[in-house]
Amino acid sequence: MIATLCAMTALIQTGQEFNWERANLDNGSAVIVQSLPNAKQISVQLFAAARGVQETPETHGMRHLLEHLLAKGVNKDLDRRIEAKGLFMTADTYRDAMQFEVRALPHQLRDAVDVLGEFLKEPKVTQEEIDKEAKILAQEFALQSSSTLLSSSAWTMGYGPAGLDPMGTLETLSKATPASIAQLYKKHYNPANLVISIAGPITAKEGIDLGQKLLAPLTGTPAIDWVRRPAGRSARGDAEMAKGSACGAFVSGYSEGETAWTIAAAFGVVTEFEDSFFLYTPSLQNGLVVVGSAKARDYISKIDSLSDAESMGLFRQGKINARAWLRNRLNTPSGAAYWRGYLGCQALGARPEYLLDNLDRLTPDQFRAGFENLKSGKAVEVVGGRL
Amino acid sequence: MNALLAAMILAPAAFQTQESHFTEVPIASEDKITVQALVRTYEFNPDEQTAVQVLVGAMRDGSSDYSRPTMRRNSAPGYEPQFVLMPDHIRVSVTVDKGELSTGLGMIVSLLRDPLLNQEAIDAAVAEASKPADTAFQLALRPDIHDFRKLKRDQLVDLHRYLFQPANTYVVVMGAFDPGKAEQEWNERTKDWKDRRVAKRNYYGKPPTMRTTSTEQVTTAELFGPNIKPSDADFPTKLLALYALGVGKGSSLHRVVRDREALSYRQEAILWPSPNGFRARFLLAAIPSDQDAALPEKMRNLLAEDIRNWTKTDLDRALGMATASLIEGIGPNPLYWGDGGPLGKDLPDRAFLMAYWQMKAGKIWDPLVLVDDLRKVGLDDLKNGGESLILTAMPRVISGKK
Repeated sequence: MIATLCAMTALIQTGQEFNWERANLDNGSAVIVQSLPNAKQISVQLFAAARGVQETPETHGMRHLLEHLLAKGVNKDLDRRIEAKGLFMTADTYRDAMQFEVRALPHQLRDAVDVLGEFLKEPKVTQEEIDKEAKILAQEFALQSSSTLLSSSAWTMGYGPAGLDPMGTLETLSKATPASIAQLYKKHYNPANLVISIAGPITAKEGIDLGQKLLAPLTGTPAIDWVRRPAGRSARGDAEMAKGSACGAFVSGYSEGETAWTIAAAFGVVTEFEDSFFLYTPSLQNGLVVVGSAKARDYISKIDSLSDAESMGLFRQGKINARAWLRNRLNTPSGAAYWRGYLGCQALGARPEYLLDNLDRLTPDQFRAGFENLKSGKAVEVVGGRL
Repeated sequence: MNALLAAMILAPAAFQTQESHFTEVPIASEDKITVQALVRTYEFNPDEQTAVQVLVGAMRDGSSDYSRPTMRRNSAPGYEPQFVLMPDHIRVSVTVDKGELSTGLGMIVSLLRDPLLNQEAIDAAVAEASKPADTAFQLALRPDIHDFRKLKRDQLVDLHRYLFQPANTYVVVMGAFDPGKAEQEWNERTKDWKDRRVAKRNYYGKPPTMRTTSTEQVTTAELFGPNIKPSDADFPTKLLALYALGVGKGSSLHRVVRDREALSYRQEAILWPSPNGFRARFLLAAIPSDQDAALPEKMRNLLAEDIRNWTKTDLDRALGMATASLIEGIGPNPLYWGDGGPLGKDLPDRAFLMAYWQMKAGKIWDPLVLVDDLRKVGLDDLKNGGESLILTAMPRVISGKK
């Protein structure tokens, strides 16, 4: 109790359109809660920012392996226990953060937050467990969808090693040891990297109190700076194992105007062309907006071939769809907790409203500029190697 | 009138007419309207399966009143019209923005009664159907290889006339409209749509063959379980056993096949429609190897061994997962009923489920009643149910490219 009171910082951020609050703890961690009174479920998420452990060729995929090992829980029976109560946990590793999500009913908030506590304990693993999990990861590599493969290729073509995906390779994973996993965990799960993000029909106080109890006792080191991803370069190439084609438009941070313009243009494109996909992960860093299709090998040509009138004809629908995409997510427990937590673990003041504001204010000229980012010569073009 | 009252008691917000299998569910808080039309099919002869696949594909090109681009423009953003063939029904799904009830109903009625089915649409459907599915998992779900060469347009037109009759059609309209409006407009638009006698042709093309290899970099292995019916006394037992065997990360498939044996990354148990019931299907996806052919039996033996060791923990977990997924939409959903993937909680799938269960079981879908039945299943029954699903299941393998 005393530890919790000492760690309590006055709430420094609240929302307007969306009812959310953030509490920052002395150890650098934070709890964010968005109230959604009409929702029927809660989403309780833990984010560990990749500050200090970003992907390099030498460590490629180690974070992903750590996620797999952590997800089993302290006694390796986590899923079996929580599923009996009707809770369901998923895990993901992104370039900027690792995420655990527990979905539950509102009255199960305490149980759901307790689940996150399993991931705040250093995992005890043997070499045998690591090797077995690496075999499972090899299976996962084989199952990647064409859209994922096209996107990964676009990132490495456009950003080089700074664009490495978190999946990894068997070669690097074969070098993992219990000691290297423990060391990675300590850095990755430094309290200054941690955010608990909760959304659903609960009050901010309920969520913040429970989250703080979990995070406050943790000790670590001050946050270190992100390694900035340099500007990307347009390129063309293949993704051997993928079908279809895609283009990746370079964007800077999620809150920059041009990012919103490009997202809206991308939505215009996917509305126009059937069987399209759209991929974007919100980041403070330079990134990509990827659009493509697993069924078309000439996706960027189709974009290039649109006249100015045709592309501007997509402005209205692109803007509407982009705004709806983000708003809808912020109005669901899972989407709201994800967006706030993912951005919130990257920087103190990061919030999805910046992107929403830029989308709301989008002008035709801005849309046109965003559209140019999708075209050949500016974007990364990837063609799948499989028919 | 009695039927109408009964429907109101069971689902107060829904109004159903007996003659036309039509139900409207006005929901003021929604911002969209969805129209789900299901056409009940039957156990097609092997040579008919090819024809009906092309028929459904060709319907994507629209009707005499609504072209494909027009349908897309009329649809709510992110809700393209859907045309899906499942073993027991054809699903036509249209979702529009609030205020566009007439447009939504107009599109559905036009598609049901007067699809274009011109040669261009048929050729496009054949071209699309000839392509293998996007992923290995989708290939495994629908492993048939069809030969479309002998199909003729008039055969498809006849098949459409035979299938798309009011008595076979179940429609649910759900979303933002005033009570009574959807029913009123449906009745107006279909007042001259009557069942009629249509002779069924006997020959439509070559029977499909079963795929055993693919160019995917993934092998899929399956245990294709026996047929079970919703009216079976042990349906709840078998459904719960499905959850215990393969739904969730604490299930037998995940714990044993993946975590212990590292045989796969993705493995699932699903309930797949059949012409007169459902099939429990247990699938896994793995890197191709020389051991592919042995995978189904390996899976069977591992699952059988795990069933013998099930405890109350497994029963409780299965019930927890079933309750969460069936009632709350939490966790994976094994009911692959509506479009070849798991049923969601969005408006179209909610409306679909209402229509589907009326068609399949002759009653309103009520997950609370179903979960109550699941709660009565004991551990021994669960084990017996699990064994009955896997011990007689047929093995299937689609070997990927090494």
